[in-house]
Amino acid sequence: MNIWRLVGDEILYRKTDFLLGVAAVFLAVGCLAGVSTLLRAHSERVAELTGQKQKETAGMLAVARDDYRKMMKTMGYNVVILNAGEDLTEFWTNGFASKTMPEELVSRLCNSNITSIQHLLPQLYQKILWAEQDNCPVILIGVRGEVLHQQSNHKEPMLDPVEKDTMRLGHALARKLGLKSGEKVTLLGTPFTIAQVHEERGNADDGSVWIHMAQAQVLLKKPGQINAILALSCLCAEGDLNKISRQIAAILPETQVIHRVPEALIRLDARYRVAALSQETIEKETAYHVRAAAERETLAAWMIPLAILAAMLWIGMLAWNNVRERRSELGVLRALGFRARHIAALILAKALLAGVAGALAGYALGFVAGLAWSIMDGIPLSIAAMRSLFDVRLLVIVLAAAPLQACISSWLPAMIAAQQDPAEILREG
Amino acid sequence: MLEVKNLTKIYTGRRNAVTALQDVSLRVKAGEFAVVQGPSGSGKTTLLLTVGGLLAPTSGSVSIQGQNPYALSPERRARFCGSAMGFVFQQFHLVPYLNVERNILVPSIAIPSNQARKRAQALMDHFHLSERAHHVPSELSTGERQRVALARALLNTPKILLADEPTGNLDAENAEIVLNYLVEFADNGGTVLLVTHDAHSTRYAGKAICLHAGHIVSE
Ligand SMILES: Nc1ncnc2c1ncn2[C@@H]1O[C@H](COP(=O)(O)OP(=O)(O)OP(=O)(O)O)[C@@H](O)[C@H]1O
Ligand SMILES: [Mg+2]
Repeated sequence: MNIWRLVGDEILYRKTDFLLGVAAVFLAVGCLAGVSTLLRAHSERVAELTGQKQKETAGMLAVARDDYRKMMKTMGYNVVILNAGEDLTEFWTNGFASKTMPEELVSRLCNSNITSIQHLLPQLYQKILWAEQDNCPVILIGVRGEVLHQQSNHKEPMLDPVEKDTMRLGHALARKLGLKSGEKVTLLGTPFTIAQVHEERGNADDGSVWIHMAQAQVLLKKPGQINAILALSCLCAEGDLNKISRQIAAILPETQVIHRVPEALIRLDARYRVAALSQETIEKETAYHVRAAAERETLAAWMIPLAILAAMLWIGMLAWNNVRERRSELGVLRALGFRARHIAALILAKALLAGVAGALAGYALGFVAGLAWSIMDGIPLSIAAMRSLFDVRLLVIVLAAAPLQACISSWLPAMIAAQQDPAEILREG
Repeated sequence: MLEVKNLTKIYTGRRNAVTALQDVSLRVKAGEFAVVQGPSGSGKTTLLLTVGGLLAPTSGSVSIQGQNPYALSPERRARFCGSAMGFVFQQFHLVPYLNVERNILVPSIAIPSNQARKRAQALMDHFHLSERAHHVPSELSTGERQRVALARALLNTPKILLADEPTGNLDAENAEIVLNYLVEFADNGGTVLLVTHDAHSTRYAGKAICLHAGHIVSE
């Protein structure tokens, strides 16, 4: 015979008493496990959505960037910066700007923190008659290497610089004049070697001649001057042309800006909008889960301590009642050789068992209730997800904490029972 | 053997002190069956509890097998008294939720022994309780209940039996059975101290003591 058998028989004898104690632990642990499962479900959903969002964002941005790159390859520079005094009607009819501006504007732009454009290419160009080639009209373009803007992350220049004393010819012009790469020619009295004949581009480039910027400035007698800066709008500023104009105007007030907005860009913009919309949906759902979790957490913050406190009080009361009911029994046990600690152990062992039973049952039901609540909160749960929500750590914690708290609650009644004077009880008969 | 000398017990209640025992001395040897007889309120239960190590006297000494239980720590006293003495009460005081066998085995929780089960079986046989081994007290007759209480008191093979009105709730037939067991215990070398208000029991006793208002009036 040991103390557990005695406790076990007593529990069976006063079943309702014991079940009431178990119920208290059960409710408290059930609340805890239910809310904890629910909160975990929400936070796992948030993590899942965040992961999904990142993946989608990355995917969409990759597609967009790829589109942009492809487009720009065919499009070329789409932002043109001209002297503010340039008459645009003249610009469009002539095909080039008649007013010039200092070349140092490029470096000013380059050293600014402008983010909406990149790949700056200063040019000096003018329509001339090529005297040495039967006064053939050509567009002479002086270029220097592309100026890489410090904010830019596109480090690969779109255009190679033209070496001094060399020139590049547009496709149509080279064919008309019968010139080939490697031949030597003279332009306005200066000798050049043809470095390259471009492929057909289907625009004004086909009738152009490119030479080094410094030589163009000498030939055209415009030292230190350019008449346009070509640039490429940034991906980030696409769809917001005003932003580009505003930024440039702030740095170079003496200029004006022309955009060439290709249809493809509009398509690209639409794609961005779709991406943004889908992002917004995910963000909304994430926000909902964060909010729902926060709400449940506030609820849990007072409900769980309250449930635990109520359970502890309840168990304490039951233990006290039990001690009173068993007064004479406990007194007789003392007369049979039981020590005070044996008496206390009888009361505490019962609380311990109630704690274990309540914790097990409470966790099981709380977990199931938490899953049901999660599904009601709109969280799709697969079997695997349910399994991952099963919190072994929490189970271990409640299995340790619930019996401990039940014992703490029963501590005072147990001590009182242990201190009762057996003589007094036995004399009462 | 048990011996008390000049035992005085004064209950110091909230209002006034009550002298329940006054200068009581008595000695019961091994093999002796002593009955303390006296009217209600004369201090019989007080005497029994004091001898049983459950109620410290105000003055005087108690000696159980030569040991003063009140000189021991509460822990050791409980152990010592639990193994040296057995109690039988008028109300039986069985544990209501334990069956007969387990009720008899209860003292082995406090003072474990690997002989306990065998001993319990022997006691059940002796007291004709084997048939009833798995019944709870509420399913027993009063005579059976007192025999269970007697068996429980004997589990740890005490040398001394202390009985407080053990036949008070029994009919004549069952009272005789119980008293005969007590006689048998004394005949086998045990010490019996029985307290009762009933003069009838003194017929079984080897030694009768009269207690009146806390004083021993005759021996
Ligand atoms: N805790 C107590 N405080 C004060 N007086 C007490 C206390 N317990 C007992 N008494 C008194 O001590 C006296 C002896 O009581 P005790 O119970 O020993 O009598 P008894 O002989 O066993 O009586 P009965 O035959 O009715 O059982 C009584 O007068 C009783 O009122
Ligand atoms: Mg009495």
